[in-house]
Amino acid sequence: MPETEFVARLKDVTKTHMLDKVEIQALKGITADIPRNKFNVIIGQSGSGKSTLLNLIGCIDTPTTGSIEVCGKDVASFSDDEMSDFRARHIGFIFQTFNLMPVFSAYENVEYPLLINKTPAGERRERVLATLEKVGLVDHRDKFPNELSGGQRQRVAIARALVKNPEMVLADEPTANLDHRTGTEIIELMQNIQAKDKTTFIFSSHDKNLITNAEDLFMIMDGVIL
Amino acid sequence: MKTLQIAYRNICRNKRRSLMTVLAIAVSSASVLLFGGNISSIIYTLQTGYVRTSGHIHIYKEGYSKYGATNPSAYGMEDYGNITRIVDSDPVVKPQLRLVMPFLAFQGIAGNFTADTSQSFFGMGIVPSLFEKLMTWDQYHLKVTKDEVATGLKDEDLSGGVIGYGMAERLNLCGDLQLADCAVPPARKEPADSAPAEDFSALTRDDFPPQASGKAAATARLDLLAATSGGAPNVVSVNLRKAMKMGSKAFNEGLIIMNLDLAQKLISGRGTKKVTGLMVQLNRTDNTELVRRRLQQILPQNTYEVKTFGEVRPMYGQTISMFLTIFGFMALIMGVIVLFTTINTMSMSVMERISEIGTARALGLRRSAIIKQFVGEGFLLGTFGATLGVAAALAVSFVINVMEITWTPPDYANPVLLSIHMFLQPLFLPCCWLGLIAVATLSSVIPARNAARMAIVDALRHN
Ligand SMILES: Nc1ncnc2c1ncn2[C@@H]1O[C@H](COP(=O)(O)OP(=O)(O)OP(=O)(O)O)[C@@H](O)[C@H]1O
Ligand SMILES: [Mg+2]
Repeated sequence: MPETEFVARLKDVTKTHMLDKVEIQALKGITADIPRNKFNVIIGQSGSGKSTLLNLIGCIDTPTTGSIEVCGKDVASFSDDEMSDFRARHIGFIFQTFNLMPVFSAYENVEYPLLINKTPAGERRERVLATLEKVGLVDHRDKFPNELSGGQRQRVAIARALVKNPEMVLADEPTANLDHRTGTEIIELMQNIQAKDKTTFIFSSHDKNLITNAEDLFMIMDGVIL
Repeated sequence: MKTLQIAYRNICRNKRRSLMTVLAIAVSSASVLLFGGNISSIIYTLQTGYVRTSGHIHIYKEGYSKYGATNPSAYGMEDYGNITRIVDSDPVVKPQLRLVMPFLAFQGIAGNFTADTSQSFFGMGIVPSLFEKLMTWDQYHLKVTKDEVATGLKDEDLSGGVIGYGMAERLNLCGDLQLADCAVPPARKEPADSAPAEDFSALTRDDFPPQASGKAAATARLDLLAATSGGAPNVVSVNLRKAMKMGSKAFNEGLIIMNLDLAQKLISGRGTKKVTGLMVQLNRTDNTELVRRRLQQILPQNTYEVKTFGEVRPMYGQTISMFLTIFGFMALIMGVIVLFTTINTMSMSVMERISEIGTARALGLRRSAIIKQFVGEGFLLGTFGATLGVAAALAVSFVINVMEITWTPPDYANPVLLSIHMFLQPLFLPCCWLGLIAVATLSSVIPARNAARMAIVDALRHN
């Protein structure tokens, strides 16, 4: 992976959703460079296009027009399998609704991305335990998602995103389903990890009061970056 | 973690639904196996019946099968001793051969003078010792009827014979043959003038005086009238040793099996002794074609014809194709049931897990891996169902075979055992098992592909 300053570069990106033959332009020409090794924060109201933007950066959706470069690669040319493999290696996701696999224990949920990117078994175990340690859940590793609290689930999800040492972690409103205190703890956890490991985070929220000390702040409104 | 392990956990999520699916597949699997096992029993029982009474291959004089019925004497075989030796000593045939027996088939009229009854009959002249061996053939280890089957005739008992049970009843031989549960025809009132003073048995009485046997062995005398090969009427007496319950109604009510010597006396008269043909019985049915081809090579060309039992009794092949058609139809229906059950279950499973599918895809799981995951679940459901079905079928067939239930096949006079044998065709059970697993696996491909095709963002928004 070429060491560039930016983890993602967007140029004149638009995205139009089709909803029952009605076109909804979620992104209206976005040009932005997202810096590497930073805790990037995207703030915008509900419906402003945060999720759409993160989906494009996370290579799970494609822009209607414009170009996106992720980790120095023009992902538009990728096939579906190449795109999958690219995500498996370089991108971690943290979702608003945690999205843990209910049939997997905490340990197995964290191990899952390593199975997908075919990490050898010995290394897998080491990394899963180390990452669970980071989020403070080693003791809960054999519990299943339904046996964990919301905050614990999101910690497992954070561990799942971090375990493969991705180029970036995308966190689309990860605190929206948590109470204020737990949400704050989760953000602090992510920020601490970021400060220590220099992992690139792209974090979105509709609540600008949640992040007081963000160094790289993007404000988005009605599909444009302010 | 292996695909199947994940699949197993996923099918355990909705235990009730998975159980219903497994049961539906199991019921289909068990029905296919039981029905197929029963058909297979019927077919092999039929085959065993044919082979036990007429061997695998018949050798006739050329033209017999086409014209012999209307003119049996013209197609009689004289040098059967010679042909028997050729067959017996051939190095290719010999290892497959169980026995060769000459036989003489004919028709005539049988009369019981003492009871004043008579009827037409099929006569079958055989060599008792060989015929007894013929009837013990048992390649498939099948028990066909509850009754034991043996004529009990002896080679040296030159005028001995056995008669179909139904025919014995009709000819009013119940008393003489000491038959239990015998249907005695009602006593008839004959107009005095129509009663013959002597029946044709009088013609033979002097030639064969009734044996003065002291013991009270069941025996009955019948007079047999038939045309000799020369066309003249001829009469002999047969000493019936037994009435046998024969499967086929036609035989049960019209067959007399007798010593070949007696049959030849009746048909050949004082001319050269002839037989209808030779019965060749092999150790295994599988070698029938091989031996037939060999016999065609070693027997004098254009003088003899070699027919397999399938050709002599076309009903055998027809019965097989009828049953196979029914079986195919039923297997198809069961396959369709499994197909729809699995598609339905897997589609519901996919619907419930859309956001999981989106998550797994976002984490980098390829489309093909998603398909593999769901197909793995279909495979497991199919495997559990089919295996359970095999176990159930084995249990049911065991019980049925032990109970010795009998049934009477169409056009049969006496019941045969209803049995279910799933191993007579070695490939039958594994093929059914694998077939249903394949159907369940393949039918989960459609829902699995739908799951894999979903746009990731749409799947993720589905909460
Ligand atoms: N798949 C879709 N189909 C149709 N419309 C969509 C789709 N995804 C997003 N939109 C629309 O695009 C606009 C931007 O949506 P987006 O989800 O990106 O906003 P957001 O900032 O993430 O909002 P929220 O804070 O509610 O999550 C909204 O008007 C939304 O209704
Ligand atoms: Mg959103």
